[in-house]
Formats: sequence, C-alpha cells, structure tokens
Amino acid sequence: MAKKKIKVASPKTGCAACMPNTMEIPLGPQHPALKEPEHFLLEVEGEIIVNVTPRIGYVHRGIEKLAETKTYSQNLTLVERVCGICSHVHSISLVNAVEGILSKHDFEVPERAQYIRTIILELERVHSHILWLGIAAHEIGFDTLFMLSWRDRELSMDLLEEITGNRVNYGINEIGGIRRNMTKEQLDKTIKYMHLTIERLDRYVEICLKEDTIRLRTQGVGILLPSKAKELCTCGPTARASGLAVDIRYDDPYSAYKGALRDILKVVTYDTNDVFSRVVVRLIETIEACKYIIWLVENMPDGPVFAKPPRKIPEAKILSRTEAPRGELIHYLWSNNTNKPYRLKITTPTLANILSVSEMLKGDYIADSTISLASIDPCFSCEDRMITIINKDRRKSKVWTWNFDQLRKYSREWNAKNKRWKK
Amino acid sequence: MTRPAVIIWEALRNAFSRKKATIDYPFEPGVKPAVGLRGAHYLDITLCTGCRACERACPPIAIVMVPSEITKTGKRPVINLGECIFCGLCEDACRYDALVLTDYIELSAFKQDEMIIYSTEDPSLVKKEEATEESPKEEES
Repeated sequence: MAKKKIKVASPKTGCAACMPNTMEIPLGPQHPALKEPEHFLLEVEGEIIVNVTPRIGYVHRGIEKLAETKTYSQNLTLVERVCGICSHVHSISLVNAVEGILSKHDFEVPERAQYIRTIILELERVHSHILWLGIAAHEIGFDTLFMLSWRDRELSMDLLEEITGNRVNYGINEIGGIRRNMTKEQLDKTIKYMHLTIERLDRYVEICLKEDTIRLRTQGVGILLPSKAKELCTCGPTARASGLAVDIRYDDPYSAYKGALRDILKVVTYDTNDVFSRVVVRLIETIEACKYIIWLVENMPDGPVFAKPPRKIPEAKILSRTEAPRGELIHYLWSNNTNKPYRLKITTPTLANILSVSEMLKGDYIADSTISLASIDPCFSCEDRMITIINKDRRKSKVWTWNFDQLRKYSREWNAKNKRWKK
Repeated sequence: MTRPAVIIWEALRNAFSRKKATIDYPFEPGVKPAVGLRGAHYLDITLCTGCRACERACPPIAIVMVPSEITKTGKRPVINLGECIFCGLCEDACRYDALVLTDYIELSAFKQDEMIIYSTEDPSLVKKEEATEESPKEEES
C-alpha cells in the first residue's frame, strides 16, 4: 500500500509555533491491544488522531497455493483453517462453489444436508458474536461482562462439539452433503440450549443499553457515516451498524436461506453509526440467529444427507459469496476437469473493513483507538492473502484494468522478456 | 445522579447462588460428548489390507505406508499424530473398519516419536519397524 506523506512546515527558526505539530505513533505489529500482528501508523495532534495508515501482510501463509496441490475434499479441511472462529463458513463457501459447478451437470444436494449446514452456520455466528462481545467488553475494561458472556458462549460451543465431533474446526462438510447426521436428541438439545442462550442474550442487551460503563466508552466513538461506509465498501455488521441494509443471506441467498427461511430473515440495522451501534447490531443479530436455528430445527426435512459427487469437477470459473460473522466472504474457484482446483482465491471480510478503521479513528482520542479497532471484529491472519505487483518505476503508479486475454498476452510477453523465469 | 450499575445484580447472583462453571480438569475427568468425538486413532492391523485409501484421503500427509508382513499388499499405515488434524477422513475412507478414531484426546509426549502410532496389536513388531524405518524417515523430514 502506498504510504501517503503529509507535508509539514519545516522548522527554520526553531520556535514553538513553527514546530511540526503532528507526531507519529506506531500501533503494532506487536501491541497488547492487537491479538494478531498488524501495523497502524497513527498521526496524532496532542491526544487526537489526525490520520491513520494501516499496513497489512504480516501473516501471509500461502493457503491459496497449498490448495492447488490438494483434492477438493482435502481442501475443505484446509480452508477451514483460514480462520479459527468462522471456520465453517469458509468450507460452506468452497462447497457452494463446487456444487454450483456440479449443479449444471444435474447434481443435487439433499435438502436435509443444507438445513444442518445452515444450523451450524448460525451456531457459529452465535458463538462468534458472543466472543466479540467479550473481547469488546475486555477492551473497554469491563471484565465482568467478558467472563459472563464467554461462559454462555460454552452452550453453543458444546452443541457444535456434540454435533460435529470437533470444537473448533468442525470438518463436517463434504462435497455433496455432510458427513454426520443429527439425531433426535441432538435436535431437542439444540432447541433447549438456544432458548437458554436467547434468555441470557436478552439480559446482555439490557446491560449494554443501560450500563454506563459501556455507554460512556462507546457512544460517539469511532463514527463511520453511511456515505463513507458505502464509499469504503464495508460489509457485514460494520456496514449494518452504519445504516446500510446489506446482508448476503438476504441479497444473494445460499444453502437453506434460499427456501422459506428467507421470509423470516431480518436485516438488522442501527443508525447511530458509532461503536455502540455495532454492539447493538451484533447482539440483536445473535438473538435473531438463535431464532433461525429454532426455526430450522422445527422445519427440518427428512431424507438422506449425502449424495456421492463425481470425482472430477468439470471446467468452470465460479464465484461464491457467503455471509460470515464478520461480513462478506468471497471464494473464487477455477476448476480444470481434475480432482484438484486450478486456482482458489479467498477474500475475507476484514480486508473490506480494514480501510474503514482509518476513517473511524480520525478525530478520536488515542485511548479510544483500541475499541474502535476491535469494533470491526478484525481477523488479520485471515485477510493476509494477496499479491502486490510493484512497478519498477515506483513513482508512477498505474491502474490496470485488463480482461483475461490481454492478461495472458502480457504474461507471454513478460515471460519472453525475463528469461530467467523460463523453465 | 448516577444510575446503579445493572451488572451488580448479575455479579452478586453469580457469586452466591450459581454453581461453579469451571472444572478442576487434570484432577477431575473432563467433559466429553458421549459419541462422535474425534481423538487418537486405533489401528486394527489384522483387518488392514494395506489398500492405501487412508493415505490418499489424509489432507496433512500424516499417514505414510511402510512395508509389513501381516497385510495383504505388504504395506500398512503409520500415523503421525503430531501432524494429524483429526478430520476423520481416513476413518471414512477405510472400507474394512481397520482404522477407527477413538475418544482418547489426552495426547502429549516428551518426544516426537511417541506421537507416532505404529500398531496397537504387537509391540514386539513395533521395535523391529522402528529400527529399520525410523532412520530414513527422520532424514526426510
């Protein structure tokens, strides 16, 4: 990312009035406020932040390249490990892409499998949002709420462990369905636990709306206006907290959201545009997610949960979008009639939201920067997955908009010119 | 005038009338789901035919085939639990039910070799295999 230099009047006489009045404070890569390595350069004027420059790319792991060497069902376990918290949504995204290709060749996924997938998706959203509530409470120094909310998160974690067999990376998806069926007892237990969770969450909504400790630290902090949110392409709860009604589950439905569930689906928005509104949006969304789970369990169809797919996936290029707990997740898959993908491109929601942080922090105090940062629910290790092409002449930056044939032509010319890269 | 904190009631209820939420784990048994937990492998070598299905299914290449005199094809799997991700794909791939995931999850060892499952059936055989197979394998990794 190009670093922008701000011109500061150069001091000649050395008097106080001529001194540069902004200071640069680095936040990260190693910083107690950040759980993962990421660098933010804060330019401050006294206590107030004037400008922020994020720098990403500290934890690039090469997952996309590794995905090209493994088969599709092996890749499901790989893409789950992109993110620890929203792991199932990654495998759903890849599975949707592959099944989207296969659906053109008369392949259908059983409906019960779609329902169970969606139950796990929503359970994951519940535990992710409650985890975020705990972290946000911890950032503002309210550790009682942190402990209480994480205890209640255990209900959904236990359910996930019982249904799928693993506590974090579930490994339940398979191309063509799921690997385990849900029994009657598990369905009953899900409903019982979800009612308990709703009861607890109602209490937390009450606490967050009334408690001074939260209101004083969050109201009026980290403001992101709707026009700016639209301009910076934010997604997920961050966009919804700025009053934009964007939700992939509603706009571009997948899995079980395609069916009757779409009628009861609510896009939760709130209009105060600050951190407080993000707290409220996430909490209400969690309650809604619990209601969707109850609805899905009550309307669960019978039947098989797995249909055997063909071993080779026909040649196609497909883009699948899903709504992760943090926003819009994109998987772009390019298959080439083998059992391994030719190319897999993953774009995670934090990459879309990270630019809005610099907008949120402007005009705030330094002490509020941590909660503003945490309010987008950042997951930096997920996002670092990109190639930056730097021109040889770095002073002239260039924007390239090419189609595929032009790009191929360019690559041939480039290969001819740079002989050392030839095999 | 300040509002009395809402959370005080919650904290008091928590301190006096609620049960303990934590477990004194190493001294008490931990909580496990009754069925379906994915833990360490159990390899029944008498049922294994050495068909390599588990090796092909394994995503992190934790299963490697070594020569064996017991199985039909003359090969049998060696599972490195240090690299295993406990996805259970090998269990699904095995057609003879020779490879099963148990609910044993307390996996920790002082040496890397202790995390490698050779065979649960015949310990005398393990030592022979170790002497022959260990040395080239270490060089590769």
